[in-house]
Amino acid sequence: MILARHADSLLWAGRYLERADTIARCVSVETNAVMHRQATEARLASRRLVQALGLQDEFVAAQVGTGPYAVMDFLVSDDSHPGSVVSAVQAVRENLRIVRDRIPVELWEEANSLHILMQSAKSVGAAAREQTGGEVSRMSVITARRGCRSLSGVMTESMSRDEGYAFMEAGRLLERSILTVELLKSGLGTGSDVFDGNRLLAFTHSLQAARRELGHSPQWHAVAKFLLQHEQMPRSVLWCLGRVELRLEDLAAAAGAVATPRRRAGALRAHLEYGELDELLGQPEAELAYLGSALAELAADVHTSTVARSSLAEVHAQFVRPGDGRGRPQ
Amino acid sequence: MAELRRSDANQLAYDEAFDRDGNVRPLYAAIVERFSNFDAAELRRREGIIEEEFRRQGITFTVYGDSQGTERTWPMDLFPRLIAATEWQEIERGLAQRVTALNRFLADIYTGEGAAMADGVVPAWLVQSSDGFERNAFGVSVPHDAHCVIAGIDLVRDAEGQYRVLEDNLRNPSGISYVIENRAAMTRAFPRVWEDHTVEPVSQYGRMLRTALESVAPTGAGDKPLIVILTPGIYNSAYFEHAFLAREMGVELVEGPDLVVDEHVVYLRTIEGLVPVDVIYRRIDDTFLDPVSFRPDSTLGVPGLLGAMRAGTVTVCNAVGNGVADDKAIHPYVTDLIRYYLGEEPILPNVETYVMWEPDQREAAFERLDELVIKPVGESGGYGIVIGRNATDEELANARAEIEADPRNWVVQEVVELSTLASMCDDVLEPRHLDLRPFVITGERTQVFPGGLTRVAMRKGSLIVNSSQGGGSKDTWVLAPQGSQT
Repeated sequence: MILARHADSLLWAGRYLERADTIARCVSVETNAVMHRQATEARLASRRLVQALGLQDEFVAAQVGTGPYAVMDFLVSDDSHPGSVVSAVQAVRENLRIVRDRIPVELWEEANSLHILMQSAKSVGAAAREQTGGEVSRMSVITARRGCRSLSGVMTESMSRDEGYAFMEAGRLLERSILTVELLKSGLGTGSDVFDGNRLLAFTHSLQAARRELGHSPQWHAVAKFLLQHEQMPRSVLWCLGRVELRLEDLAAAAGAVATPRRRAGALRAHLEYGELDELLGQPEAELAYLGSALAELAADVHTSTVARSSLAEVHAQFVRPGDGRGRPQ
Repeated sequence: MAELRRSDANQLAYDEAFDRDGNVRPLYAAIVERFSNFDAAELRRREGIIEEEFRRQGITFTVYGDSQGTERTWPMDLFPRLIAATEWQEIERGLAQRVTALNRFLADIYTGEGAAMADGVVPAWLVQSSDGFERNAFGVSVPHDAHCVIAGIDLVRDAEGQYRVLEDNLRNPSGISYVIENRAAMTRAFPRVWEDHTVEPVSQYGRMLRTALESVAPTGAGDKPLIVILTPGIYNSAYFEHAFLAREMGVELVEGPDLVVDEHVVYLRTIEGLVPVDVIYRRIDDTFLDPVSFRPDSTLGVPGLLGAMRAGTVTVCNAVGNGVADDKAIHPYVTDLIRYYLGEEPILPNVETYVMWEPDQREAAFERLDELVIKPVGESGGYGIVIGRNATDEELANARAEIEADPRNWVVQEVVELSTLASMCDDVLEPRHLDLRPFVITGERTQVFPGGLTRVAMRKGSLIVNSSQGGGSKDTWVLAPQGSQT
């Protein structure tokens, strides 16, 4: 049994954990590249990353400075917007705090420790961080990546495979799929700021594995197929959807309400598994736009169909009311 | 080695570790010996370990009035408080006796005949005029008459070392989580101090409380009742404790909106739909519990909860209306209530308290107001208290006028010189004042949890031990009886 509110917190804890991990990884890949490039070029690429992560509005609002490390700082240590690593870690921590009584103590303590470390870097202040040549934010990235790895380790090794786990893992994998599709978009086009295949693979933690299959200079099309359709890579959208389906199946026994997202996940998985991807990727923008919106709807479905019911009438309509056979005064 | 200062020879208060001649009391001989092997830097280092651990684990309380929602750790002093086995047995008996009588009193008021009032043990008007007296609780019976499942009784030691009851907390006493976490921290920071003592364990609280809560479930609940803890949420100062208790008991931690009442049954909103709830250990005050019956603006509570309680489908712990029995104005009558209900002499005396609506007591108090403590009954947390010996003539005259204007609202107490114990202050161990809050659990029977929360005033001479006012806490050891194995 799990409270609807707790299910919601775990779903979001999973999503933010994946987000913190992905942003930290992208920033770390980008920072290495920045060091070897001209300032303007580097800045353009960083802006492209900001866009891929869906943070352009926040970027404009935050009035990010022009220093070479300002964009990195915006993505890592700026808590004025919810898309930075520090904000994502805080969201993980706040969501786990709500369920701290039901998750393994170590999971909470890892999240809390990571939050404390990230906050101490944040409290240095943007100007001071810039003066260190991005050193503080670079260290934060390392801390965050290590922290996220511990969190997923504890999650995998000590969480009971109950409903709470199902929601947290579904959240992670949905967020991962959404970000993969968005990152793939940033490899389309012809500008100097378009990410090449290797960069996309590095962003998604797939470079090493892909090199064995695709060689050293894979084209976008091959990378897209790899990241969307690979059956063994835990980073591919197909793999993620397969797992989401399994988790929704776990939940189905308890919650009939997951039937809708389950169907949606199945349909989307089948689209990737049996669809003619070569043909579909003939119009890559349209295909990615379709996948992006379908994944967003699926994520919203998992949330609303299980946890967002608040009025008693809705609850009654959906469920047989239990407790009648317990010999209580009614 | 760190300097361990004895209490002044002319200190009025009882010192727990040293007698009046400055000799170590036998109870503390081994621990004083241990601590004299550490220098100040070493003690500071270990203090750092504990602070860091508390922060990492999120053992914190939220500071109110701080928009940042700042979470702070509550300092634990390194030097433990010890209670000898024989001394504890006496306290234990006294507390069980007291809480048993208080539960009888609550049952008498709300579901009984009002016998104590009819027989003149406590004036009926005093009971009915109490802020904690709750008409909504009339006729709501609780299994085993356990109106107060969890009580925290504040004890102090007077100048002779006698334990006395300062206050009863029968509504939402907090602090138990610190008792358990302090022990864990002490174990990490001083792994070897346990070699000299056999100390009663404190890890069984979750099991003990759960058993008690199961025992008060409504009769229709079956043998595996569903228990929840109702918290105001993560911004409440005691949220850590609520989560801690849910984890220790293995029950759900819920907020008001997670519960819904339909046809006098309380349900939990889960992803599977509605699941009926049997026992609610609530950590929110009476007035926020049910917007239908109390404050309509409360968003923390559950509409219709009182109706469900009255229908007997759910047990709410502690029961509604307990505030009448821990009213400061009722406190002076508790010893008589023990005699009345149990036919026994009270084992633990009260702090001597005078009621201002009795003309004799009032006149006697007015004679020597400058030696006494004047307390408003409606306040808590030390607000509005006038300490006679520190007050100006004008303040005393004002207090006197206020008492005459509304005698129901005041009590006057003898000053208690809270006992002292060595505590870490600026690199030396110095005596500081402390109190003790043991926890008493009532289900089928009344049990006292070993030890309790020792709070210590970290400022020299201060008698204020509250966490909000710079107080700390100490690990509290009840020593096992000699020859026993724990």
